[in-house]
Amino acid sequence: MSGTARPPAIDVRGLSLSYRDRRTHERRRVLDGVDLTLEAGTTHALVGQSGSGKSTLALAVTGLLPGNAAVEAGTIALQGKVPSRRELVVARRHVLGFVPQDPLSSLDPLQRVGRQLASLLRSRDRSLSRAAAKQRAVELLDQVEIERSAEKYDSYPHQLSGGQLQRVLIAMAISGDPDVLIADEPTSALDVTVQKVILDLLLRLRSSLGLAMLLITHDLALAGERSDAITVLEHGVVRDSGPTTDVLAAPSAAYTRRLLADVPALAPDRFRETGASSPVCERAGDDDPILTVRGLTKSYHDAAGGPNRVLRGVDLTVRRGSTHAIVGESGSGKTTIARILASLTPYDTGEVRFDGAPAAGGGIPIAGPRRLQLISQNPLAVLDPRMTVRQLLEEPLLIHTELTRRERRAEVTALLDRLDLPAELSGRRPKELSGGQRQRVAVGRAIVLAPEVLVLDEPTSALDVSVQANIVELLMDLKARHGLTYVFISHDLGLVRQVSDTVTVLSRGQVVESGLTHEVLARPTHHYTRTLVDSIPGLPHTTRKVLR
Amino acid sequence: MVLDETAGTVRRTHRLRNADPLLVLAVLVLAVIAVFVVAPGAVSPHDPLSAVGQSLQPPSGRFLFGTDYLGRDIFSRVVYGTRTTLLGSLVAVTCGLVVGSVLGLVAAYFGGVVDVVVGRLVDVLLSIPGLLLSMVIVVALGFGTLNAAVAVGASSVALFARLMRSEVLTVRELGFVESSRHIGASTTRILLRHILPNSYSSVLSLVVLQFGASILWISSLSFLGYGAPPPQPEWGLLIAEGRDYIVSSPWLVVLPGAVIVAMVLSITKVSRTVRRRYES
Repeated sequence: MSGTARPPAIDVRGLSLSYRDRRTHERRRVLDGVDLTLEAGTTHALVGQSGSGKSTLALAVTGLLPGNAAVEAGTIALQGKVPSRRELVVARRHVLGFVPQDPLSSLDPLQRVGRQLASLLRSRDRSLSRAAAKQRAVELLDQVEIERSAEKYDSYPHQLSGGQLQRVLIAMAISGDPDVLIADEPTSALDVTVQKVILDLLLRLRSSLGLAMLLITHDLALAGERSDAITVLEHGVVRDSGPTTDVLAAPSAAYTRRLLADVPALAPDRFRETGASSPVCERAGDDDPILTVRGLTKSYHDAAGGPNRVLRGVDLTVRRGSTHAIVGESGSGKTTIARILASLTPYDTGEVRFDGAPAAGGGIPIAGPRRLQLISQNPLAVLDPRMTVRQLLEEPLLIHTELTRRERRAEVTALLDRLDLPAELSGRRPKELSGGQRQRVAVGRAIVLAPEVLVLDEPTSALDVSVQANIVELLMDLKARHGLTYVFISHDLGLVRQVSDTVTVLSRGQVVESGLTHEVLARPTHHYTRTLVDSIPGLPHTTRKVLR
Repeated sequence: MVLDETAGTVRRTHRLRNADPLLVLAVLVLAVIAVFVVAPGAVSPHDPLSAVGQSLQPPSGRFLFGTDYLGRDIFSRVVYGTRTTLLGSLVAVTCGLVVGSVLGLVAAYFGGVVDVVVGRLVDVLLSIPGLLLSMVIVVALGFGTLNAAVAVGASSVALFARLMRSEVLTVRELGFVESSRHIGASTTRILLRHILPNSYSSVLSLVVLQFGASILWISSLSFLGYGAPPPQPEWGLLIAEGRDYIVSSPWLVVLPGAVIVAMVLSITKVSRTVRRRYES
């Protein structure tokens, strides 16, 4: 750590802030006496769940709060000085750099990325000529390690991958030669392996440019691996703060301890202890398979007309009563497999057997809705917004059973109880529920017909760690109670290690490795699996290549 | 979440107290018109069909809107005409809504040949000016209030079908439709329980707009002589009859016209408010 004589890059003292509801005009406190000190040249992680006020804090620092926000108390000093409104505008140009969460929505889709970068440069420095701005923009793209930067300068946002877009935004953030970088969940929209690469890049830039970085994240494991100091925020109140190693080794707040326990990567054996995985499952899944997939292929026609081969001969065997994980990055074909198993997408060649019987094809489902159900990543999308929770849970019963109205009501009430949803939610619509509650309703719709197999397509990736832990707990509990078989699709190897018995690693539509989860993850033989394993943040044997 | 809910009720009472004065006015206008429809006899001071005073009297305490060329009370005729006109618009909008929505729904959901056939049909309907089309239909069906209403309805089918189709095209791609199919819901169930409720909100707001437009159209048809036969009181007909005296007795045209304008504006205002609340 250099320059201890320098004043802290950001010094927030006793910040209290509230939002006024635009309709009721009531004030809602979002930050309550928050202290945070970002020392120059260090990385400080700000950790909290959604709604904890962490993004609001970032907005407050940059002076970009919405009009209905009011600072009630406290000060925010930048480099030892509380800036005036005017100074803050200058600071945004030359002192602060901001990396947003969702790279795609932060760029104009109709402008070439290089031009967006160049026009940003010219808006800062009017004397810069077009040619010079372009040259500087390409340099910046080089600096954020975009390959063939001169070529990528002329790309539109949709032509770049998520990782490349995030690099462009990082280039924008450092274009003003800032002293402080604020990264608001810079990688949560990205794949794990890309996440790792982007974080490496950010930390490398941080040290080479001598920046201070405020890293906002909900992932405590990631924060633990990448930061010097950490502040844990819950409901706008600081629960824990201090040097990262101290906070993680001996968290003083109960909240931090719970967060730590909820991170799958930090508690690999959480569900083993609860008996989710019985000793029987320690065998490979060859005997008594409920699902067998052989040589499955599928291609889509892409815009250019050529076939885009999504699956290239996939083999899978899922043993009855086990949890089989399918792991891979986006684009590896995971979701396509889930959709094929759920008979939502036809496949080209290969064979899918459910419970011994080969699929008939020709639009006949591989397994009927009473035997196999799909749970998808985004519960809000799959729940009809016009229906109440009760109607949503009742619908499968209405379609498939002859139950009377009264019996259906009783069934739904019992189901709500099993899902751990309070009965008073039954009149709510999906929009009025929290993310976790929505996913519970989606799970309820899937299990109300008592299927044998659940295909879970990233069931928790849209949720906060603690909520994720709750949902996973519910799923494991349901599995134990009803003897379900799970096909668990995820990109989160930490979670997969927690819940699954067997695993198939998928890369570009091909199986690169499969076997018992603990064996595959402990001794990955394929380099792709190794990359995936290495990108689990906070894993004990991960080499901590943190550049400090 | 629970907090949000209580905030919601607080918000509602809060809103009632300082409601938009224009909205209050619009609701009042509609209430008065509702009385016209339900009990015209109770409101109108005179018999709408017989001469009750001298002809072409200007508005006065006795004759609120004045009298026409036969000495009939215009106000009473407006009151009695409300039912005919509104019933006509209701029929027109219902025709357009039902036929148009079904066409749009079916075209968008099934796609392919169905979509092409419906699409061309709609194109043909849209290519003919609405009023002309109504006139052609009403001539074919024969004159009369109901026929005029059906004619107006038929010419708005295309509008409803288009809107419904575009809404359904969006909705049918949404996750919950697929999810219901995955759960095993039948096509009818998906169409009626999932797609229709999620696509009709903008169609419903068109209904209100179209209701206002239908009043004008039916009035236009009556004005041209295709609608209700005289001496039956009907709003458009009233204006048509007054046209000859527009210079000497402008109230014959202006006052019934003002009623039509007030009615259409009120409906639009109320519908817009309802829609906004519904959406938020």
